[in-house]
Amino acid sequence: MMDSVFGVVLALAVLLLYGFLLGSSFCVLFQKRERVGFRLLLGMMLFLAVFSVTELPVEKLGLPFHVLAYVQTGVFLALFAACVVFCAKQGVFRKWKMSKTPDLYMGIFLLLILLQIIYGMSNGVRINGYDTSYYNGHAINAIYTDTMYQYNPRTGRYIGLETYEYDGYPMLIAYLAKVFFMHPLVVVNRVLAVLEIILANLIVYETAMRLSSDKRVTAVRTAAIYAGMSVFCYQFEEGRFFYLWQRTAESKSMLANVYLPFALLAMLLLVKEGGALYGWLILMLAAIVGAGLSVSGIFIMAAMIGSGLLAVIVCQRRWKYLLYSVLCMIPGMVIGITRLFL
Amino acid sequence: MFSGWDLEFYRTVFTNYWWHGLFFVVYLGVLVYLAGSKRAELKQVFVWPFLIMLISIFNPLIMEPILQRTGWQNRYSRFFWMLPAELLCAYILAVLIGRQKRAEWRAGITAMTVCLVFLCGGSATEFALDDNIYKIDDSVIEVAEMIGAASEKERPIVLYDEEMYYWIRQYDASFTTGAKKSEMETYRWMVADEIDAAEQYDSEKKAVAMFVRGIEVEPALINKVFESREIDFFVRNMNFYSEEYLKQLDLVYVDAVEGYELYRCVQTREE
Repeated sequence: MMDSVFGVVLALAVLLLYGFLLGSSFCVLFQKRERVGFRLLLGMMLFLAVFSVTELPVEKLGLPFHVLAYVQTGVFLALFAACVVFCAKQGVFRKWKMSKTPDLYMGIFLLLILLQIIYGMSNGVRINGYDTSYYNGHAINAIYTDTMYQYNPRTGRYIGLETYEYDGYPMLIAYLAKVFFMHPLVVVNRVLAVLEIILANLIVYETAMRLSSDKRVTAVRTAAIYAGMSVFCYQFEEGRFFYLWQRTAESKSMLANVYLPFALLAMLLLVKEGGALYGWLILMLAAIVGAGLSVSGIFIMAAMIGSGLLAVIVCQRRWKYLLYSVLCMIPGMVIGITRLFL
Repeated sequence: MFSGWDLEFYRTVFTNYWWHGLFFVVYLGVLVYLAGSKRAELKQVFVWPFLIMLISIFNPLIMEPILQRTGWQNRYSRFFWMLPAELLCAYILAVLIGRQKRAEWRAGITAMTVCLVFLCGGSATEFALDDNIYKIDDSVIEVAEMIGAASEKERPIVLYDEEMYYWIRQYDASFTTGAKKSEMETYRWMVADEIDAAEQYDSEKKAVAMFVRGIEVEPALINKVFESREIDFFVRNMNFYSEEYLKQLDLVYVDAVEGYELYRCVQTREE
């Protein structure tokens, strides 16, 4: 029953509501008034970061897949309970009623996202079976064999320990498939694909909002032009739009369209916030997610955040940021080094 | 070991990534504009990181020894994902449109934006409707279900062609592939006509590698493989293998779906 449009919508609703709750709690914790979209975005990145941090030790200890499923569910339920209690104490649920009702610009932006989802979900053009057979093969193997990375994803033969570099993304697919009683292909090609489209649009919108000093017309126009570019220019091989529409929801696609643009947004936030802890933590989140859920992300994320922080440090001549930068990058780099060398 | 500079590689990666470079030119223009603007935070987030990347990550003199050591040449183009070129282009065009007070100017720049998107895109977008909720070909699901219905084993060993190999286990993990990964990939990038059929006698690996690419390898060799590897089923891609050839293999026909036929290997049946 869950391998249907109904199941996909239900899974997305649960994930987005969970992300929204996490993001809202984070913003309330730091006493920040953020837009709904940003809270949702932040919450989903928190969800992915928590997943990558929890998944790594379970995987490296060679435990069965069901242990990962129980541990992750336990962590997410505990986080959910903590967020609900915290938000209730802070009166967040009462304040939601006073939020602005959606207006024309919000309507246009939502319509834009909806059109892209319809386009992405209707389009069956895909070119890559080689890479997806690796990621989705490991995901479905985890469910079928109750192991993690111990069977060859393409042949199904026992290998003991995967020697090729890999990231935690297949286990994210497997975990979501397990908790939502879905086929891994439905999770990756529908649930995560729609999530990628939503997050990519939210990042563009939020970045444009911050660049234009909260002018919603400019942000919606930017999102519309960006969407047009992505749909009409997606055949550039290796470009981020190619990955968005032809290799949707692969870990590389998520890196190109979600993690890296989110890191840019975090850098912008950090500069605008004047180096507040809030900004550093969001940047740390980006580094954790990038390194935990994408092998390429270990290097690319480090290069991007490193270049950005170096620019900020030199331009602002705030040498104490060097220490903060190191602290901000440590969790992501530990995950990356553990993945590559241990 | 560092073996000299290959600057042509960087030019190829750049042109492959940016194609005719229109977005990149607009992006550079935006960076120049931002460099001259008074908004310090934009310079810090967009202009300076670009310059730092230019002298580090995008500097062949630095990257060439690193890439040669790490063997990351095929992943180098992904570093271009760090550049927010498309986002900045979209933003600056949105700002340009918004700044026009006269409707005709606004319409003109909007039209220019649409032209830019089409010019950069080259051709119209490709579109094909999905087969099913899994986003894989229906034939893969049909073949998987056909094997499931015919097999008494929980984990049947199945041999299929290279095309089916990359998809079928994404749908059903209960199958074990009758060929090794290296065999499946030996002739992956070669068209069948380019493969030297005489190589089948070099080793069992090469014989299997050719067979899964649709080449009619000597029946005795393949029958031996069916037996020694205890293969339960063979999935025939109907674009490959003649009827006469199949008659020489130790196979019994089971069922068919569009484009594929399922055969049971004889020694398995006798067990």
